[in-house]
Amino acid sequence: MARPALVHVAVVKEALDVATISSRVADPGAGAIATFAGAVRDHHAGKAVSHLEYEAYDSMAKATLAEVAGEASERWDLLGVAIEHRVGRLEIGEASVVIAVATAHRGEAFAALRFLIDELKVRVPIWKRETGPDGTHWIEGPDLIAAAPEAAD
Amino acid sequence: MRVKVVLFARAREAYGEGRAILDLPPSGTARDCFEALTQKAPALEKLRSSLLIAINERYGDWDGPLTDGDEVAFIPPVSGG
Repeated sequence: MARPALVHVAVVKEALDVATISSRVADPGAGAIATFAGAVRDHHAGKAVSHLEYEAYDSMAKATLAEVAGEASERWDLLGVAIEHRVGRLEIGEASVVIAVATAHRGEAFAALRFLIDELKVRVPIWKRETGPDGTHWIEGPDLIAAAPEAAD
Repeated sequence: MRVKVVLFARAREAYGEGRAILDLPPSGTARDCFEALTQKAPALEKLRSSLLIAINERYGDWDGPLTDGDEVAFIPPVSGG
């Protein structure tokens, strides 16, 4: 491995901009810059969804994102990796997470992106609850669990 | 010794707030913290089997001895992304 990858991670309240996050990993040695954006979908588990709210253990989420990014960098020789996750209320179609990686060749970029989003989903301490016509539910893996009434603020 | 406890998502909701300061005997554990929290908020008990522990922002275990000033987190199944 030539040198350590540039790593940028953040948990933010503002809307995510794919182009800005992608530009963070720009590198003269990059033959590929690949991005992944997770979006808020209007349905889940057969139920309509009107909006989502994300909550994070901010400091640990950042530390865990950096850990996952470091693992990907070692495994695929990344030139750069940037991950930003949004928290707070998100509307349908908005981006909840954006990941960008820069690599010499495209194969590593696609593989690393897949690893990063998969690991993020199982390790990083961030939670969502969804609201729709059937009320507000916490999402815990495959489970939907009714949220307390005061949660729907 | 004194530790800071933080709770998130459904655990925060069940406890009623997101943080607590607890006084524990020396070599107290995350499990001891949880017992103290459930005394105040019995609704937490049904979440016990689903929770992970983090100590000072790293995943840890229920029965490791804590140190004065530690931050203990109770972490429901995550759902980021």
